[in-house]
Amino acid sequence: MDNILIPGTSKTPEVSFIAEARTLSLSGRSIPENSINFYASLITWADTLCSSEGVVEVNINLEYFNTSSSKCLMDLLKRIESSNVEAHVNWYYEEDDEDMLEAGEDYDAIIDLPFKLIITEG
Amino acid sequence: MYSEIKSQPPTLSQCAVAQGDVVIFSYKGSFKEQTSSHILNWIERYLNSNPTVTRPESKKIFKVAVELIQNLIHHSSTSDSSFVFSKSESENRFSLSSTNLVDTKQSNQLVSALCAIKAISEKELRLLKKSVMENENRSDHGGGGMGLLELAKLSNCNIESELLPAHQDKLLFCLTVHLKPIQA
Repeated sequence: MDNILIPGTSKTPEVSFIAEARTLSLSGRSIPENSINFYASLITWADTLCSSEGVVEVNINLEYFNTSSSKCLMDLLKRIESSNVEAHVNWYYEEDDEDMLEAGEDYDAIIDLPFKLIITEG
Repeated sequence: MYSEIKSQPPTLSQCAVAQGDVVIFSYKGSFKEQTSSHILNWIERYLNSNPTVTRPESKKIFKVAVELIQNLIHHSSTSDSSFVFSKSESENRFSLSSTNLVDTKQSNQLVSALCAIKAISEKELRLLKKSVMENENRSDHGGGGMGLLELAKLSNCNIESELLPAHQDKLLFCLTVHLKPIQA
């Protein structure tokens, strides 16, 4: 299984999905006009990874995300949740960013996976 | 509050800028991905170079700009659309507005959605947003109707709309989001 390594842009996040380490990391910003296109291959990759048992770590360290990305993140996390893997999510938010903290809390409330809300310096 | 449809054809300033506000940026025309990138880059540079705007405020303003502009990309197909970023010194707030043509059906849907959003508390708004997030339904571009909820949440429901007559069977839908400085 190939890794997915995509550099970040002004509208799309840096993606680092590493098969061997079983880690899925998104950082930067996710504000593409069409998030479905961007996330489709990432969700497929996550499905493949989660078809084999093991621990999976998800790291979400986003500065901004738009509403269409929020639905795609939900899809990604739901797919992982519904698989048989033992997954946990590290949700990073900048100090003073109440909106990103609340978003993390909302995902935590919806998705039945262990969430760690981790504060970072702005 | 929603104003009644005015009898005179509107201008950009009537729609989007309150009296006394200073326009920081305005654009009228068609909205494409490239337009969006240019405008967002400009706003980001402005915010980064303005020491009086804190990072949390700057992030809120940027997020509102993203939602309004991307909404125009997805829902406006004419060159009658506009985006205005303004500031009121007297009221100590920034405002961001979008204007686009809508038909009667769309205008009714928008007005009813905004009425519903404005009638609920902050806590209920968060719960509603959560339930929309959970919902599998989505629009073609992926938002699934979350844009207005997000704008309301970011502005503590400080959101206004106006419908103005345009041409033929169309109306101009003006949506303005006000952002007050975040208190420490």
